[in-house]
Amino acid sequence: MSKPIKILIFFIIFALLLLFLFAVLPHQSSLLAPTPTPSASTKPNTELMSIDSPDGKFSLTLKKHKNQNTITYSFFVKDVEKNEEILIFTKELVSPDSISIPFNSFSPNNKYLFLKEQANTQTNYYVMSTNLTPFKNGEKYLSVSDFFTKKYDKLTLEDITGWADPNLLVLNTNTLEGKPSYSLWFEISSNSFIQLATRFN
Amino acid sequence: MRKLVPILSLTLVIFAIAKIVPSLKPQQACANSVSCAKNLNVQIENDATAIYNNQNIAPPKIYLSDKDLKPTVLADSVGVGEKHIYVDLTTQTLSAYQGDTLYLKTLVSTGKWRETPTGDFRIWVKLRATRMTGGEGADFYDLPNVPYVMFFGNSQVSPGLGFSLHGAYWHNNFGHPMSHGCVNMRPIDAEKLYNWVNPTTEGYTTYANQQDQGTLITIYGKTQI
Repeated sequence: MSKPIKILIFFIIFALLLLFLFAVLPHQSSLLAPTPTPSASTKPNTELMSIDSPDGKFSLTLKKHKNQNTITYSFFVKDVEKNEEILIFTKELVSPDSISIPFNSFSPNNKYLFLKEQANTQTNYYVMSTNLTPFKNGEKYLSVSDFFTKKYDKLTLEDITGWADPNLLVLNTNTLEGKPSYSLWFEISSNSFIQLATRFN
Repeated sequence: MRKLVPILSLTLVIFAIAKIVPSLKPQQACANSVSCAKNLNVQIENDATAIYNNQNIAPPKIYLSDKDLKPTVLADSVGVGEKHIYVDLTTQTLSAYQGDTLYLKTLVSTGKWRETPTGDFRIWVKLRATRMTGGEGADFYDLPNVPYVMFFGNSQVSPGLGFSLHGAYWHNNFGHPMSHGCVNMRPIDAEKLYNWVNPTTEGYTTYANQQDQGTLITIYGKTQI
């Protein structure tokens, strides 16, 4: 076979291949485009994060939904055995503000949970019941940070680490100079603080 | 007779020294000061009330089933090689490996009121649940239905002292020291570990033996108190 015929056969095969790619596999056409075609964002605009209660009977799920300029944080508690889920808290924030689920979020008896909000340089902690039961003044949630700030003007709240028992949150504090200070318990039903002799590091 | 008296006297002195000296050695403290030596048997008490932090707490009810006699280890958790648990007192973290495969990593609470011992230990018995009692005054605690208990010991830390890995239903402050020496875990983590460690569960109480040696536990680091 002469060389020109070989070259012709090669181009015919190549042309047929191109036709096949365009006709049969249309979604692959972007591979042959001279410049990438911008596609819709591949990132989902809803993210999920979930944690189980210590006994595995409940779970807490955070669903983050990205809006145009804000992010909506929605928290759902699920009774695993009954397979029932309820929305217990929702808040819309502007990035970089955020709300997260601490590892020790659930109270030991699964009656309460707490969340951690990072807003600018301030950290806020919210406690709520897992079944939407309001607190004594009808509030749906308590802001532990607000109670703390009103009572302790010479301390800063470093962290809420978890639950010392079903009704007591463990708080670690610092002095205004940033040095570690004593720990406190926050009693949920009375909204009162108990100073501790030791620090719960 | 004259030779016999000094010999008898010397024998008596040696005997007395042998009896007194060991009692001068500091006694190792139990993890649970009341229950440690008395009761290391499985106990399920669904009608009992727990006492902790001067408060009454309802312990979780436990209904034993066939699942507790011979639980099945999940297929995706099985690796190759020896099982080994590491407890880091500095970071309050427990990691369980089989060979190089990580089976479980989670936060725990080790000794705050009494140090958790460091070193290499073996699990010598597993109990599906038991009662733990100790402390005094404001620190007194009485905890029925403590779940998924894995007692450990070695030649320096007697198994009878009651140090164990176990579930803890009375607090949720893992990642921070909280206990009287034991390694507290979330109950779901304790269950997962209990069903994985050796000795392989055979009934509600399972003792290690020569054919089924207890899993090795290495405890290291320093608790930040």
